[in-house]
Amino acid sequence: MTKSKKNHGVLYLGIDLGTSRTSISASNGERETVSSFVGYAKDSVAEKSLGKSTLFGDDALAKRMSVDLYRPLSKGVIQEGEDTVHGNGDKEGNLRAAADLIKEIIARAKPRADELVYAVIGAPAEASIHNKEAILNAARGSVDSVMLCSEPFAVAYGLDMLDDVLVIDIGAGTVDLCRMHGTMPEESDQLTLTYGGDFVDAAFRERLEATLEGASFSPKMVKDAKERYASVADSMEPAIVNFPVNGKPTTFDVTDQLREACRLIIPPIVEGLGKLVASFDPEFQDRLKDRVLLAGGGSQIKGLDTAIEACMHDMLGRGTVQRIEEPMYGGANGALKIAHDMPAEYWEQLK
Amino acid sequence: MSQGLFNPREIHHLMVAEFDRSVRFGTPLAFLQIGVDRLGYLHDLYGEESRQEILSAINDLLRASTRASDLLGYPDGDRILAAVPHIEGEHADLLAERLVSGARGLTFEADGRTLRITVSIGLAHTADGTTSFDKMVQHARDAADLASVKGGDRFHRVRPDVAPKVELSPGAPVPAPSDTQFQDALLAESLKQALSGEGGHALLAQELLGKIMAEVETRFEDSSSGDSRHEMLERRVAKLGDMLSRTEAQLRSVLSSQGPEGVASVYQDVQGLDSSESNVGQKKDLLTAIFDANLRMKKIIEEDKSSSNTQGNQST
Ligand SMILES: Nc1ncnc2c1ncn2[C@@H]1O[C@H](COP(=O)(O)OP(=O)(O)OP(=O)(O)O)[C@@H](O)[C@H]1O
Repeated sequence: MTKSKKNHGVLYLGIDLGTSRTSISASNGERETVSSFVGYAKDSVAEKSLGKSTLFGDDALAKRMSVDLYRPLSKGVIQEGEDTVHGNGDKEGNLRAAADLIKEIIARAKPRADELVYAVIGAPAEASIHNKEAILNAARGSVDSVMLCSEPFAVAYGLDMLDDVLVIDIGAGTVDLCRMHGTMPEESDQLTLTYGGDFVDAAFRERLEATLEGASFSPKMVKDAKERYASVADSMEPAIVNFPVNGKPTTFDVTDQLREACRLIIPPIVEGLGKLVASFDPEFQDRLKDRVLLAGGGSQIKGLDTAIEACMHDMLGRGTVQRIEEPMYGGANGALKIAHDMPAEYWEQLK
Repeated sequence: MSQGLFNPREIHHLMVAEFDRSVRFGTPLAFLQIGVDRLGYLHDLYGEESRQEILSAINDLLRASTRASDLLGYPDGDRILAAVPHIEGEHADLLAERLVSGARGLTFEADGRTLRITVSIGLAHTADGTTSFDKMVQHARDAADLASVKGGDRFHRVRPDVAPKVELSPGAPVPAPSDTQFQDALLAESLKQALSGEGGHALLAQELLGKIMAEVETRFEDSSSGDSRHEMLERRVAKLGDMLSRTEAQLRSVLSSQGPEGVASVYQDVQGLDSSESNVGQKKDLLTAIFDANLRMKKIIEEDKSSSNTQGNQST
């Protein structure tokens, strides 16, 4: 950051760095979310027709024929190698894309040159130190001081629920479970499962492929249908989709396939909850079971809270689940609150 | 209703988030305030236990009548305040109607007698143009008050921005100021004073709100004659509601311009950055833990860098 005069107060930023979406919430009232895609123009011809060299979010996805497309955070951490469904696999490219994405989202919060900018970034607990370093380096270019914290912790902090709460954060790449008990959650308080929204998409797709003969559909069509109709309830709104068969639009009822796919994530989540409960002070285990918060984009699956409750009753004897609304900004808002509450001297020391 | 496992403050947080989401994404949301008619009287006659039993039966009814998983609610004095997301206005009306008739079917045993109850429900819906959480709660409350003073066993929905304007046709004689108008002028004057006075705005405003509500209530008391009178009073409620919100907005702007952080802090409320004093000690510990973890990480990264630098230097 250039050493311009910073005399107009502090701008606080909360950032939720997600597999599918990156969101920012700022103390100046700005809120932005962008899907976690970065695209670089393939060549100068493409750049000319796109009008710029780097595209972000849905823009990048829409122009995927003209750009090298990265989804740098698939599985919640910066990908360092293996090929991913939507993104390129190379490590350097992913690191660069992550850095550009962070810079972009900060720019969208419109910081002014004369403001000190302090940011808290919610990142998955299991990100490697290498990964965290990359995230911090990317952010440092655009802010004066930055800290990382775990994503589910940020959600709980934002809602002022610091005591005996279990947070289920259903993202795209992962489901993060976190036990809050008034102090900073440690390794043993957190559990990451790979049963997030992407897993549901894949399971749904498998079922569609097995049952819809001759229909063709893209990953995006599958995901859109899921986001429109996802439910685990016995009686759900019929999921009616339009997929082409031999080029001819054809209507299918995919209610059962979707419900089945959505239900797959319930047992592993409850099993995970069971583990976090079992290793907790026995005196407070019941209280913990009765204070479960459901967050993240995937929490919008209809009836999921009631279904998790029912499964908890079967597997753990009891359970009460409350869905938090604002899945897009739950993490970012919490991170913003942490940034705002953090004493100034701490920020100073991390500059 | 999560059977009291999340406390009212926590539920309140969730509701604010719900409202926020509804505003941002344009999804419909209804607030219901549900009161049992003559609950105080039932309490006096049959005791606290009956009162509790009645309230929990209402809870159950509410859960059964909504997609329970979507419902957020907490006791608000002797009433229950509930938020029902993703519900269109007309469905919210139907839901309220269903609750009213459902309550009629409830029976309780007390002192060997069978008791029946009725409820008064106030309904506020985002489609009616409500722009703040507090206002929406207030509208639900006002509507419940209105349903109750109209005799109970009914629901009422306040529609602030669709209240018809009363317009005088040109040339029509200007009516002499009535008693009511005089009272209004008094209230308006006090409001003005509250706004221009030094400090204590919030307290003054609070007091005035109380007065206005009392005023509204007494005007409803003698309103049992005829529907047109009801309609007029409803309009007055809508107008007063509007006036209150404008007053609140003005108070806020006065207060913030005197605040130590001036314009920079304008959005702190909106973003939930109140400097609330709850759990201060605990939060401080948590923040220190986050800071320590970040400091450790910074050191590890720096050590890594310097060791790889020296390695690099050695190898060259
Ligand atoms: N209405 C909906 N119903 C079901 N799933 C949805 C809905 N809307 C979004 N999702 C899913 O939520 C997921 C994204 O959630 P979120 O934005 O919380 O994830 P993220 O933070 O990017 O991911 P992660 O936490 O893994 O890093 C996607 O899989 C998306 O398809």
